[in-house]
Amino acid sequence: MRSTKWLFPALSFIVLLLIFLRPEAGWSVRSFLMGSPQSEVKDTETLRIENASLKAEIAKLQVVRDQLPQWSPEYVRAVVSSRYPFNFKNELLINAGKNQSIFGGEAVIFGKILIGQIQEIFENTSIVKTIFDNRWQSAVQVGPKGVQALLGGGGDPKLTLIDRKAEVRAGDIVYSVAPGLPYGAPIAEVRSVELSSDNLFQEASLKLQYDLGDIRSVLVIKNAK
Amino acid sequence: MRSRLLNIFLILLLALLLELRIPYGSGTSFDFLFVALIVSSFFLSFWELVFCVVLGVFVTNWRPSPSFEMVTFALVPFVSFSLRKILPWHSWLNATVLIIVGTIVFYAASDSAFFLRSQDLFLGILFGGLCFGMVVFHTLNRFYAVEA
Repeated sequence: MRSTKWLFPALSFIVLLLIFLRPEAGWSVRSFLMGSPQSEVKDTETLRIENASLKAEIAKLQVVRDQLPQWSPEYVRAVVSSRYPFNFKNELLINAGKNQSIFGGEAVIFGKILIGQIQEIFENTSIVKTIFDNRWQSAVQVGPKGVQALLGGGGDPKLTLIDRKAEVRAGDIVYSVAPGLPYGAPIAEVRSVELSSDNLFQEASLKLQYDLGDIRSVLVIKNAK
Repeated sequence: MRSRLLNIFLILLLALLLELRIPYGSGTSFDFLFVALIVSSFFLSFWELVFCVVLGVFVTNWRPSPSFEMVTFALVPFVSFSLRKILPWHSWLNATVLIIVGTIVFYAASDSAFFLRSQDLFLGILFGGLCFGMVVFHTLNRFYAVEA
């Protein structure tokens, strides 16, 4: 009885130590319980369709890229260590921080698509605020004519404040023009366009080519223009 | 006693698995583990609850430094533990009230704008958590007495 009296306080203390000294152990357990990302178990047919879709995307993006100033990004490759577990924010923790020369505010991309920005840095890790976060707002341009819009984050990111007379179509590429983020980095594709509730602007819903839950590694851009 | 604790561990593990594998809406999930910890506070002694909550924090924590959300997540089950005998109703009704109030407090403390921004989403999460919590409560209550 005497020995069991101290069992749970002792075990609790050990787990507390783990939380503060080795938090990555908890991230690994959670990652293990989450299982493999869906993309790893997709069949060949699905992959073939995706491949064709990605080729089409590359062709579209080439048009955008040709109109942009050329620059060679310097980047740090990082692995996603954990994800924000609640419903209030949408953040990723990546394994690159101060020791990898991350200073905060850098753009984070996945397969050349902008997915977020470094928000908080630690010694060897950083927190990335993604475009799926409700707090995300950034200036973007849409399509070959570079129509200006505001990208608002959230579970379903959308474009607002698009000029009522501007020509935006489904399939147009949305790319970043916000200061501190790489100019022209593609973000998404327009899915549909409609008038805002006050009839003063247009709004657009977006089609994203990836599932954030499947992303395991990202690039942190260090010299965004 | 050992089997009770083991069963509660298994329920917490199940809650975590369901939370991780069953998404609710775009980019959101139910708070099954949080609800399971509130319900567990009715069946565990203080130090058993401490251990379960610390384990819950261990697998839920996503960053190397403490966060306000994590502190709230850990505190609410202890508030439930303190109130479970003070509330005047049947234990199942006490559990219902504490799940609802605990979830509201957790969301209000972590992001008060969430209610205004996503009312439907919040109600869905609350309802899903309440249903799960009631199933867990009645399952545990069938085999074990509420702790004195």
